[in-house]
Amino acid sequence: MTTTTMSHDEAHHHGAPTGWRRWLYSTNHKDIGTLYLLFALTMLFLGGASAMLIRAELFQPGIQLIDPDLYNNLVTNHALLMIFGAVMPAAAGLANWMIPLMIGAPDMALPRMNNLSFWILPAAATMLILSFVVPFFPGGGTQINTGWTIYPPLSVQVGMSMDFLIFAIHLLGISSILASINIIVTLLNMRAPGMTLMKMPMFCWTWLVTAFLLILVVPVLAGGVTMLLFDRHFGTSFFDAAGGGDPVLFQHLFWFFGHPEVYILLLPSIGVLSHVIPTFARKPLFGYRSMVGAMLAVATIGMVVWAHHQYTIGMSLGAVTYFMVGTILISIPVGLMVFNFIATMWRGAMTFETPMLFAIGIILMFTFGGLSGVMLAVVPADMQYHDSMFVVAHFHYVLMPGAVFGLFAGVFYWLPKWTGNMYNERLGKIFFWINVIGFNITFFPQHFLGLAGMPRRIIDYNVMFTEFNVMSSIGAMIFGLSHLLFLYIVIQTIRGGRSLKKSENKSWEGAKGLEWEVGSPPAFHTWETAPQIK
Amino acid sequence: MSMPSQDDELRRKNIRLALILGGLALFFLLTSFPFWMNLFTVAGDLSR
Repeated sequence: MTTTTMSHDEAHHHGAPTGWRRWLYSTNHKDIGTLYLLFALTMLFLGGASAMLIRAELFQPGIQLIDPDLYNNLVTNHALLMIFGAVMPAAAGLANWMIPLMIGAPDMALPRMNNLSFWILPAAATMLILSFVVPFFPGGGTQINTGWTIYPPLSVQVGMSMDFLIFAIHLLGISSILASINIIVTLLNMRAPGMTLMKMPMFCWTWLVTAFLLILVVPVLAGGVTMLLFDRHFGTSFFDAAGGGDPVLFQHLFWFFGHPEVYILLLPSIGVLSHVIPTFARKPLFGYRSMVGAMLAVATIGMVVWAHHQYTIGMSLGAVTYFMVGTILISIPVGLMVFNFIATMWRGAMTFETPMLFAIGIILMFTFGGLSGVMLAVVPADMQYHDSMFVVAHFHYVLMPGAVFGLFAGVFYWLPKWTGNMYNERLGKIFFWINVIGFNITFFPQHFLGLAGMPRRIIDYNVMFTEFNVMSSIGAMIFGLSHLLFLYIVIQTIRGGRSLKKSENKSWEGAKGLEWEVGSPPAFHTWETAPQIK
Repeated sequence: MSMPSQDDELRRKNIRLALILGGLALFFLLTSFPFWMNLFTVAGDLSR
């Protein structure tokens, strides 16, 4: 893709507003992107704190620090904070920052709606956090002890914290759908002249598919939790066997959302990788068209294999066979993506800056998580692994590298663009190594724990599981604390100073795309005149 | 009557597409109730 370029440091008619109004009333995609990222960072630390408390409790067999109900609360809030509070908003933050810059648009298509979709989030997060803390107050009811899957009948019996959670999910869903609509409209209507869909940067493609997935599956979750709310308060019995309903129906509704959610978390990071790897391998992305095709295949197949999370409910043989074959089929397009990334690196003039280290880490560890996913997809094997620590190890190997490391790669890759300062590369690399080693010490032993029979979501365990749990907990402390270094690097880069180099417009030698033609940091308004793509 | 500017036209186009997508989301929300109830019944009957 070649472009006719023009200088775009042209925030001429007015600069950025100042004070709190700049953020509260913002319709600027860069400011809203920053808000999303700061929000996600806050939630990452809250969710991380609950994870570290869980691992501290599991350091030894027996009950040490917290009571079992609170432990279950922590398991629930860790997942919800990380998925809905940290990863999804962080990906939306990257989208807000980068999509208009990448497609040569002056802003998102619907800037006021963009403001609304962000500012719903703090309200939703408040409801979410309230659902964890109300049980501590007099009359607050029981702890929210269902896990993030909120299966009935337990979720019908939990106290008022479940109502807070249901409304939090509604609000989060509204925010996600508004953001998705905005992203789709921006990508379909606001691209620079000459930028056809097949010339669109891969990060934009991944977000186009992600946004469609969100629009298709989030309403189903909203429907499910609304039915749950009705069962709890209005005498319906959608999920109550005594009234003619069935609790398994909720599982179908939940996983119809929950499984595509994995791809929703994953795809934006695949988009980041599609920019990071070509930049640091100094080669164009191998197989652009096949990447797009693979992504569409993943999204399509991913929507129709949800019940592999529910093999043990007693489905018919035909049903489980279908879900097993469908699930295993997904490994083909995912394998294609991994192959394309490796082929992009093949004989490239590679350098190993922090974003590239994360990218390579993702390919290795995400592939490993994918392989244990194929193991879990096989019905007879899953009957053994189901609800064991093996599953916990598997999905952390998929989601930490697949989603979170991708977001870290994106932040390190674009931080010089956003701030105008190069981050401290040495610290970045130290962060990568501590983070990756901590991650593997935490989650690798959990495979063995699961295979040996340790169930997930329990506060106490048999003494035979002690050694691997000790290792896992030590790893978790290293892993968790390493994020303080990430925070330090980000703050240091934002503040700048003499110790850091200034970033050029094109922060990386091998980087390509419209976003590198605007200033670093970009002006408050960019691409007021659309570039021409040849 | 003045001709609509390119900006106005883009704005209208954006809002139109946003409404269509919003309608799609609403459709999925509303159909999720009967769709899932019926699919569940059918699956139950088949496995019996």
